[in-house]
Amino acid sequence: MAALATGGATRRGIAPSFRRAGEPGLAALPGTRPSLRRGQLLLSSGVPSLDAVLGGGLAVGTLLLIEEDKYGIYSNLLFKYFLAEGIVSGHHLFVASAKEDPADILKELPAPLLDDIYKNEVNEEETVFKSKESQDYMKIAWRYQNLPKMEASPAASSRFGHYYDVSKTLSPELLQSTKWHRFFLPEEISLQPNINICNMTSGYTRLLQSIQRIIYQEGFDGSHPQKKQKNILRIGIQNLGSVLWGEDICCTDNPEDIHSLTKFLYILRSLLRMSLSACIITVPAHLIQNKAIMERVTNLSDTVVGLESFIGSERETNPLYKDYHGLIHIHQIPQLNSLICDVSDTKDLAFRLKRKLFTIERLHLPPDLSDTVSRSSKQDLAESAKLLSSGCGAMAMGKKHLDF
Amino acid sequence: MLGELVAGAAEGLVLVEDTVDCEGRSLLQSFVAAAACRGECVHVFGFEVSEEEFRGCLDPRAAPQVQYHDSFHDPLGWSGVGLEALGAQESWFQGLRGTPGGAVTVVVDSLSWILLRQPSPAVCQALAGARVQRMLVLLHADLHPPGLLGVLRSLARVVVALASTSQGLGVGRGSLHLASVFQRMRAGKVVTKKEYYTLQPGFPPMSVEEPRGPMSPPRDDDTMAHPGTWLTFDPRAQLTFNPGVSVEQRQVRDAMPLPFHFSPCKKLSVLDQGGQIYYEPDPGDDLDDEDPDDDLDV
Repeated sequence: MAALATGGATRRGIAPSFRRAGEPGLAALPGTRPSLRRGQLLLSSGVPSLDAVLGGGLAVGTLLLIEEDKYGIYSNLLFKYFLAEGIVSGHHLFVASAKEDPADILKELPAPLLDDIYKNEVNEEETVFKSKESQDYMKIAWRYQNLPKMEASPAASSRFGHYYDVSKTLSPELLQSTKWHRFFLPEEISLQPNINICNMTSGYTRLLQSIQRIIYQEGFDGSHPQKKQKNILRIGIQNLGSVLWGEDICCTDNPEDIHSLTKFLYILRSLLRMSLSACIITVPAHLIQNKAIMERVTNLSDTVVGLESFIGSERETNPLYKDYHGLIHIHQIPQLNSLICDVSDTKDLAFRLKRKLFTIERLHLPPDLSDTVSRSSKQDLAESAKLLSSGCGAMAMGKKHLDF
Repeated sequence: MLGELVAGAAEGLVLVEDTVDCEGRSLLQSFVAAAACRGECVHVFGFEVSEEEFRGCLDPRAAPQVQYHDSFHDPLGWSGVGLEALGAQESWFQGLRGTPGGAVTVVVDSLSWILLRQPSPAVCQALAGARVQRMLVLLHADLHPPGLLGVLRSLARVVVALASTSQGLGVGRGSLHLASVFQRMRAGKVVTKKEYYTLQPGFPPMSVEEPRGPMSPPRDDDTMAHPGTWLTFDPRAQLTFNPGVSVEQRQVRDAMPLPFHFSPCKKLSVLDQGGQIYYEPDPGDDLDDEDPDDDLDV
């Protein structure tokens, strides 16, 4: 598709020989590509394997909710990948947190892998194959020899997803050239101690007002049509729903305002839908006491991904899981402009973090060879199969609410 | 690991959870004593015990390093003088904001007292917002719902959960306790360790080996059971045969061919060359090489 080639080919200088007549429009936005199936504009979430699992990427105007793992390590990493992808693609950022200063978060973003290094590492097998090809080189028609080669697969040509090196941080020059906005709750409270609360926890009210102001001022909702270059706003909200935002759904079963978080998400999603933006939110789902809240939150979000890390659990030492660092559960994928969503057929996905790669793979449990397998590992297999088939990591806490 | 934490390796929010069976104030006092000996400035907010009792075990030479904010005698601020007029809870918030940042240790004895009287979000925000090097907080785990404990553990950098061993060697100081230490390191790693320790007043805790002998295992035992606890007798001493294998015996055993490994000489001895069939005809057999169908006249 010409739009794809336009979006990604500028770096290589490849000139496609035909263009689609009509509006260049949305496909000219940097770092996006149109979805192959639904015509939605997609953004990369920063992790190419997560993009593949989510059906190509995150649609513009939607919300990605990440249910944090127990110690918040991998959810923080996904959060940083999202922001780093925004910086590399040239989008605007809005970082909100009640725990860490946004400037500190941005300083610790992982550095992107440059093109040539990435090619050397990931495409090594392809070079071997190509060298074999050149030996029986066939002469093609003379006219086509002079044209530059077009890449066969669309994913390789458009720089849609990038790989990041976790051990290095983003260079300060790249950070300075990015336009970003911040929201740090203790700072906002100290600046404006009194605020009229409209049926919501004050932290959420301030955050919504801040987001709305930025969207309007910078013209992401189309309110300043004279601005030449449209861009995407990537919003990242860290650790929403925790105590530090001023609400107690994590502390007790009967919080004071049980609907505060759900109201926030409702208003946030309407802000996202009417602007060129996408949002990532991490929620400490394992701490929220009332499971009904998490169900409502899941319904109000578009894409919901749950992380379950093996740190501290008995699976860390289990040889069945030794290659992986945790499980990832895709709880919900949105149905935008379609009747069905492309959910992958496998529910057993596990993730692994290497220094330069965060991959999500199908979890293959080895076959149960009856004679050689000892009793204890059979139990492990049965238990893990039961947990995986239920498709939900932390179910133990929820059982309390079902007992009469 | 507990000893290192007391000696100054702990940073950020350190949560000490104690229970009815095992009190944690003595551990807190040993932290304070160690910090004072190192010459650091310590601010103690006391709500549950009087100042004299808390300072009881401290070295008198190190006493000026420790600044005690007493809210035990007048918790509601009825004496109406200055900061105390606010009441103990408010004065804690104010005092926390007022402590100088940097190499200061703040000790709160105990946080449960405050959590029972103030809304927990505000308390957690105050804890997270304090910019001191080390904040040591005592929490009575029995008094709070599990949700609140989970929240505080997620906020804390180091969590020390204390439990008593079920058959302690006597009650009070000097008895054996079990500490489960959970520490969140900088690079995102998490370290968990369980160790036994004894505490003498005024001295840092001494970690000891797991108790041996006829002691039942501690109550919060899980799959990480200490291996050497119960094996005090050797079953081999009562056998009439020797189950062990000496080195020569092992070598001979390894050199022996296994029954279904077919080495060439074994194959020759077992298998025949050629595959001849030898058949002795039965009495009733009619061995005729001609095809009986040839007689048919079709």
